[in-house]
Amino acid sequence: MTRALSACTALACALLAACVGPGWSPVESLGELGNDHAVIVGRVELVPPLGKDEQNFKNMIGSDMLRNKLLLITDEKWRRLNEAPERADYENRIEAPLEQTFFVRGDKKTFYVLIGELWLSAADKAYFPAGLKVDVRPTDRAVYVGTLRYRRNEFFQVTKREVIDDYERANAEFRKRFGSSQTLRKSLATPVKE
Amino acid sequence: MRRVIFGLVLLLLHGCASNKSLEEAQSPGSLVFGYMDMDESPAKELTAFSLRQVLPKTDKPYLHMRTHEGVFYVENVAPASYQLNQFGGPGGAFSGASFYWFNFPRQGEGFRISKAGLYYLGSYKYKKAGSFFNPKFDIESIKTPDERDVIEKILPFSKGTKWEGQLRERLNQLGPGRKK
Repeated sequence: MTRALSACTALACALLAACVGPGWSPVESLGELGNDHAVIVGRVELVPPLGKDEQNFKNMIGSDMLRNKLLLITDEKWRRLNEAPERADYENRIEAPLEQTFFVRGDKKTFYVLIGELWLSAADKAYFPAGLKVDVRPTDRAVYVGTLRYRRNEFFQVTKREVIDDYERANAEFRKRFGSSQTLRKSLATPVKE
Repeated sequence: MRRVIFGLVLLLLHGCASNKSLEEAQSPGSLVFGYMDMDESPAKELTAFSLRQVLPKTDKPYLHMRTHEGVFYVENVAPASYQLNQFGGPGGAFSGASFYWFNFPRQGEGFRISKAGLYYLGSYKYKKAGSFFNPKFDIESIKTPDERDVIEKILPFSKGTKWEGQLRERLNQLGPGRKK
């Protein structure tokens, strides 16, 4: 029975991974962007970094979208998430690879980061407070939101959240990937005022 | 035949008792204890409880606790940071499972042992949550049994060890218990 429950949980997670859609797609070239889209550039860091043995997805299908990634749940409107995200909330997620700069396609609209979610196993998740606003303008083609750095204690509790301006490094990576024809506008994420 | 059965019963009782009896205190070890009410759980009683050492990192992070009538306890715990890891017990006569395990999330409360002594983690009650397809549980803090009640349940298993003196001293500090 215990094994059956574990199998059900793993299956439910696999179904979730399969059903929620792809989230905000990574961008390889600016030609992929439609008129309504901009490249959102940023980074998530965990201090201390995630250890190899801290995620366990044994026998779990579709774990690639979760491995060494923090899911940033976003929305066009601010709302406080007091419970685990619903399935629909995952539609607007950024799968941010930890300690790496991400380049994803977002709409040319201001958005909010509601919460961060890190899967530790099929049945265990850790949550990271976000409550951040990112200003995106209709004229933008590329926006830098900053490095979201979370410090944690040994009990996986977040002790500090910072938005670091690491524009120089991000811009260097941006130019290497997309060339210098497009400007990466700095628009650091700011805490939501409630 | 009667003698053989009597001998077996004695052997079993001795096995149970020794499993519950505390080993002699070794410096700088601590005695960690608490209580879990399993009345609302599908398990009929608490027979397993473990802690996970989270800092410093170790190859063997799991610490299996002794259990007795809902009380969980373990002696000679080294100074480190710990979290509650897992607990469980056997299913009842008409239960669909032979054993139920409940895991604590890794993002949660923990405790640090820096100085040797007695550490009471509190008394809790298992509360059912979620649904059949997504079974979950909550843990609710409860006032009774309190620290005194829990110590009184452990005391018989500390006989002849240094823990007995420490537990009695703690009972004195706590003052007289409520009338039962």
